[in-house]
Amino acid sequence: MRFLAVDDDPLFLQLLTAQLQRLGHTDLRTASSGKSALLLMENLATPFDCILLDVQMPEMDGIALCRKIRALEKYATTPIVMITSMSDRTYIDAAFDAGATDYVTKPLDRIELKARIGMVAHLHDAMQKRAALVAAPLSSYSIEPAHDFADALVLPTVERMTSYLARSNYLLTLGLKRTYALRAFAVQVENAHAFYNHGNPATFIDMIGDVASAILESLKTEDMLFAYAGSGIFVCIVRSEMRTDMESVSLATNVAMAEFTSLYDADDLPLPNLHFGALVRSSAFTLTRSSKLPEMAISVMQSDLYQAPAQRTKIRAF
Amino acid sequence: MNSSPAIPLPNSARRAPDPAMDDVLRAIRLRFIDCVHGRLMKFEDLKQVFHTDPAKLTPLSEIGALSHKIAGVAETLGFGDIGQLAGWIDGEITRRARAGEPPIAIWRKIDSPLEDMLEKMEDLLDA
Repeated sequence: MRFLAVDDDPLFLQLLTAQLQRLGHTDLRTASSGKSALLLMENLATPFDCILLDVQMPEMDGIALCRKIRALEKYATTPIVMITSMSDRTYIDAAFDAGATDYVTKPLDRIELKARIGMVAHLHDAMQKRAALVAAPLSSYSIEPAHDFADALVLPTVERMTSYLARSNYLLTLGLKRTYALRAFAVQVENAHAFYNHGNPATFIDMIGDVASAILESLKTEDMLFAYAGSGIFVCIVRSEMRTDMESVSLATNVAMAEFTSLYDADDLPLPNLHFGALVRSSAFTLTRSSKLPEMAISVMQSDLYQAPAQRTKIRAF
Repeated sequence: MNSSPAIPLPNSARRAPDPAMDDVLRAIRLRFIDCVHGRLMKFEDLKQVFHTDPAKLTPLSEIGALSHKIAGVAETLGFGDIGQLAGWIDGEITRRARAGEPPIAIWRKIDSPLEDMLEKMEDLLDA
């Protein structure tokens, strides 16, 4: 894996280089500012596989730099790990909003660094797999899809949508008080398997992109982040009281989805059939950990989905 | 600065014996010590600037930024007490400045820990 580390402290860069080398990662370039990092990225033909950014830097801080990197097409999905100290913790939200995948804390702990970089390596492998899928000739798709139905996907072109992993990492950073402010719900594309079995992975990915756009459209006024978890399931995290009720969200999403009807008809495909789960939240009584919220939202949605349609509950606040 | 290899490495760097890496870490540790004198001078300058106009936040922010850099590496290099003090000073300045506290009130909070940290840094030069 090829790394780029950006920090204005040369001693920290030397230390990070040494620690990564110790973990077996020797292909590392460093930059001392956001400006020089962007210049380096623009001039390299082969993009880096992982970028490590310090949060506090003069002129362009790590968050602004993260946003600029994400805007570069070839770095739209590259794992970006923020390097934060205790005093930077208030910036973590902003970092994830800017597109960060994860963070490590200063001072560096070798075990933590190993775990985080291990996660990045895993993500890198998954992305390589997906890149191979996009680059492969269409005929090969019909023989063997290059990704599993259960795989989480990242669609960098959809605003406020990040990887499921980044979303999970974000939730793990939240304290108890902020956890209580979170709400979550899941959306199942009921006929997702039909798209997957269609034989052309591009069809499946396009469908996921269309549904993501429709969800985003219906929730654009909410402080919301969402991810595709795999198996036709989206998980949405709302960071404040919902201004819209779930029934309206479901209706608005289906209306937005209906705009794609002619495209699906032209390809002789059914329109994705969406099932919205109820809104769930952490509470002092259930003591749900923030990191468990997505699973809870999926579980609530699925328990409802697997009932006979007549027995399904109406969407309601949980 | 004497670059004697006798300087011990911190425990965290010794979890798995790796002589080549130990040499690298030892070299970085020496570079950290090399920087101490310049940083002490910088801290003293910033203290003076602050005392000429205690209503200004800028010198305190710079003390915070310098502490931030020290906190980022000191503990990993085996200077745990310096790293912890630096992290605390950085955190206090950031948090209190963000809360809108007057610079003089922030100074009163960090004055003593800052002196402790500077003393420990001076000890490194004497070692």
